[in-house]
Amino acid sequence: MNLDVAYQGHSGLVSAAGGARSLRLAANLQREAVAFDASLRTPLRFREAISALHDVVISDLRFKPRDREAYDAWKRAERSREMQVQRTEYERLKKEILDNKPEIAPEFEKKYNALRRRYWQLRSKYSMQLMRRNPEMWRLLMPCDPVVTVADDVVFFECFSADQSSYGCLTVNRDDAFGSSSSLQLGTTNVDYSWALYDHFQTLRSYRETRLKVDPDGVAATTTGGGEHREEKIDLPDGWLRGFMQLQSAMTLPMRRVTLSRDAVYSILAWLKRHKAHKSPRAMRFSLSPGQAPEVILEPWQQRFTSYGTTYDGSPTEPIRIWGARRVLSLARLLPLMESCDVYLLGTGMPSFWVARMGEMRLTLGLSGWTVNDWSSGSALEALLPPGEVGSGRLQSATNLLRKDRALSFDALQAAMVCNPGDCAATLNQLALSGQVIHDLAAGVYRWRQVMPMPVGPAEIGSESPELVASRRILQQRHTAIISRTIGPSSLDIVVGNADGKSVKLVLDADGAIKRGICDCSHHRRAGIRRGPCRHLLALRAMALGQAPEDKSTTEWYNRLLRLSKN
Amino acid sequence: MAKDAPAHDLLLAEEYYSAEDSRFIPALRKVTDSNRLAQFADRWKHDQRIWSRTQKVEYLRGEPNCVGHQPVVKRLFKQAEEDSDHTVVAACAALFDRLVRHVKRTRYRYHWPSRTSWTEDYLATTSPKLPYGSRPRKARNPFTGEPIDVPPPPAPKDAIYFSYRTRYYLQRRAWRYFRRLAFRAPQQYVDAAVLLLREYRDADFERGERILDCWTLLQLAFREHPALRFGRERIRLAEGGSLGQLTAAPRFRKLWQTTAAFDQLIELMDNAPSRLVRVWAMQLLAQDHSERIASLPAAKLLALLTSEDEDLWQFAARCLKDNPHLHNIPLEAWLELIDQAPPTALPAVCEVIESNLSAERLSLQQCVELALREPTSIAQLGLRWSRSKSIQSEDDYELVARLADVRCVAIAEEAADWALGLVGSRAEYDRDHVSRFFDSLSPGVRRRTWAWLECDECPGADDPVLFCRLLETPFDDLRLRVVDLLERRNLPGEARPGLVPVWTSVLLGVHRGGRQKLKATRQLADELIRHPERANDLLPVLAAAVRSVRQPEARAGVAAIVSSLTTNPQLAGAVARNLPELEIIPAEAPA
Repeated sequence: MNLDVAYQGHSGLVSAAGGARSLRLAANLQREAVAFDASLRTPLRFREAISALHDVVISDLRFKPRDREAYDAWKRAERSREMQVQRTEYERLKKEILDNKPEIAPEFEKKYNALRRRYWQLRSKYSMQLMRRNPEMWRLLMPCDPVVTVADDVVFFECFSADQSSYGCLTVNRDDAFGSSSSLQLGTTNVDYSWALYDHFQTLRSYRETRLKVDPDGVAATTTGGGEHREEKIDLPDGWLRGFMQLQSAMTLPMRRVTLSRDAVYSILAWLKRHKAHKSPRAMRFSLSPGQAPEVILEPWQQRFTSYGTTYDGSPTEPIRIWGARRVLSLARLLPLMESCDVYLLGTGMPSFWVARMGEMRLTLGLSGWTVNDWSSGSALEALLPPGEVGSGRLQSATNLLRKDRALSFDALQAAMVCNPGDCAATLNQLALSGQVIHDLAAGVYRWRQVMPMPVGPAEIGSESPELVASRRILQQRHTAIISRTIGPSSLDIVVGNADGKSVKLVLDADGAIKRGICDCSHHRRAGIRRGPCRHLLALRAMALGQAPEDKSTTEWYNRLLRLSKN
Repeated sequence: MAKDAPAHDLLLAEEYYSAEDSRFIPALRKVTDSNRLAQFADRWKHDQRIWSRTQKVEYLRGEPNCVGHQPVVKRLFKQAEEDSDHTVVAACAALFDRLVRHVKRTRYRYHWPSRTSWTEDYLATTSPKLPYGSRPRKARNPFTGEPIDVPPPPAPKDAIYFSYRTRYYLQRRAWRYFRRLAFRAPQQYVDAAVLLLREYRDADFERGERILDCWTLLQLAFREHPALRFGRERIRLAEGGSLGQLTAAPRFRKLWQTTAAFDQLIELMDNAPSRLVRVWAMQLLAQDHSERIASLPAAKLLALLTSEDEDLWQFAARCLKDNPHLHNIPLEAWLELIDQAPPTALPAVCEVIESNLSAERLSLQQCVELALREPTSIAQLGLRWSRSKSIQSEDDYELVARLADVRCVAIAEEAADWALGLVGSRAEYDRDHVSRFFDSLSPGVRRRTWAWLECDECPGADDPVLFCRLLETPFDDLRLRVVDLLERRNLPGEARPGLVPVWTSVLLGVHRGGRQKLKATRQLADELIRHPERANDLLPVLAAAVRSVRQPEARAGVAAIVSSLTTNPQLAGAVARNLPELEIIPAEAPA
């Protein structure tokens, strides 16, 4: 999907007369005008919080294979050269080396390692510098500019990471964090964001007055030397929008809330910083017992963290496991400001939302089920989506209500729509999936916010994998059966069964990921699981992991989710 | 020849030809009927229209991969020879050089008498087949009925662009044209040769050995060089010679030494598409026109300095060293040069500027702005010039303080040292200026500013306002240094309340600061003992240390709590509130 943005100048810190500074955010001229101009009451706290949002937007924990092209070319050249040299020089050199074998100094290894470390440090520093300076590379790092929304009670900034797995939303209470706004226009827009702006955030100090200004007026900016008019067509990566929207829709579902103390979050982050899981399972496990302090266990070390000072007051549940725990490191900068952290859990392998409470601010970190947010693992979330389509009349009704009031609680919206809770939840889920509604978890309200200039439909999100769609159909038709299930060595789960008339064998690892599979279908015969597992393997995996949807109506679906999330 | 080409292709090309349509060449290249093409070429070669001549050159510059087009090439070439059309002959000569292609291959040799083996490189001819025929046809085996692929028929003889014998002949004949021109009309030779030299592209010399295939080029530009041995058809390297030794050694050198040739060489050096030709022109200029180069206008050489071509700006930098007119260049031109020069040329540009421009001609503001640039050579120049200035007024100090925003890593520490020596001196100390250095985005600047703070005579060492500002820093390196500093000395009293956020940040930092965390815990305990009324602020931070998964932190935290409780037993309530899971067991009295 292509997104058109146009900015008047760059976002940045503008000095005014009298030493006051204004943090001017250039707004997208292609969208509705949004204005905000107020002084920052707690600039240091705002600085730290917005810098944490920066960590979210640049986080990319996907596996990056090493680029071996130069090495291969060098190897080929070297091989041909060596062949030449070896034939004539081998004997002579061998003798020479044996006769004059130099004594290796004892500190040679140490010096070599130190120099090599220095080399790689400088090289990665150089790569990072290139990444910061080169606009095209920056666009790879940050596919889409952040979105800012000015609402009646709050201002919030949203971003989604390049690896399509982390979502960040910094919500700031207008009354507590800002002075009075001289110009105010409610709405949502993109703001120009760059590494230079992040550097400007670092200059916020309490002894200098700083204003936050969302500048919608290109003309005014020009007259004050705001900069040139820039237009850019952003080609969003495949799957980026789908990942973002799926996470948004997941946010609207009923979830189980666990409150962690700051000390527990610090210990988890400190452990993750110092340890790297080299083998599965790599999950973060929540062990929750009513009336007890919540416990978080990090696999594979089985390191247990108890959140002292908080209690879990929900219903008993089996341990919930989530993956991609290293993404939580984005919260590291918030620790000094954090009061507590609410974790909203949908279930094992499902997205989770970490809401760091910081007085007048809160940062929501949304994590997809896996760091690699590919379609085969995304199927887990599909099982939680409402059955059937939402009627256009109901969608229009909810849209009108939310547009008018801008923020409504679930009960208020349901009362206004005059429908049952299941239909209301399904409608909100659909609106979130199209990028029009955000669920403010901490405030418990649904806000009207159009993340894109237009409602996002299936055409923009991109079509789903045909194998995934077919697997869902097989599950719905109940054409799947597990014949046997064996736990093999290294906790491997060997599942044998039938799916849509095909005989299927499946090996799942401790994280539930497909390691190997056998199927008779043509898709599998052509390329095995290299091109993604076939529909039969996916259906059997969903069955084995208990992800098969069984709801017949939205009410049944909503009640099932409520039971799962009962606090 | 491919007989299955549609007959209307040539009709279309002829229509475009008569209408002077730009689609003519693409349409012509699709025609494969050599007989009809020959008839058409007979008409085209006599066409004297300017458009037609341009089309001939464009056609000859195209990739030689059209089936059946040999008659067109031959006819155009021969007619151009007859008409003395240097432009078309030059295009033909370059095409013929492109047709000869040798690649380096390695072969294995064995000498039976001595029973030794070795490998050696040799140049083998390549003659890629022209696109001919269609894809393998699908058919069925008449006996088994199985589907099979029927291979396409073998390519006919005209599926290559001339045989190698013809190619060598065409190369020799093209060079003969230029050779005879040098004798018959020497005043035209250089112009014609320049036309030829401009026909070569860098892609023609993608591998070094391809240079040896360019008969006409080597005859023209390197005929007298001892590293080359010119045979009847091929050119080889002389014994001990290598392509790396090649320097300009043209045939008819005297013709290249005239004033007109000098202008042509300058033009060639500036605009020739091939690097080999540009370097050749520079070498020839240096060999035969050194006096004329010295009298070139400085503005022309300065313009060359902004070229993206490394050879060109290196040549310009060499020439500028002895140029007598450089002192008359206005200041704005020099500064413009810095903006326009490519990054790789900046060291040379800065060297030229420094040797020809006095720092007195620049204001302090201009010098500082240069020092704030990112490229090292410019920043170093700006800093050197800034240091040569006399700093007197308040505005001057304000400008010097701007060096806190230095972006060049290489000069960051040096710039900070110099600037702090001025704005941080006891006589001129200004906390507004100095705090800019603490807030710098450059770690080098912050490091040197901290060193300034720790020196004996530092005027800011006891400035509470400076420390209050310092404690608001978002940078971990400064926070850790503050914790280290507190081990040695205390901060001014007014700054101490700002320490809690620093201790919190250090203790809850997950990225670094293992040693400082223990110090911060001790300092927190001391503060708690000194100010028990601040327990509500300090104990939550200590609680994080006590509950830390890292054992050294947890031990230090427990020790801090216990020592605080021992000194101030009234803290027990606050400790119980913040650490309910901590059970304090009073020490048993000794028996």
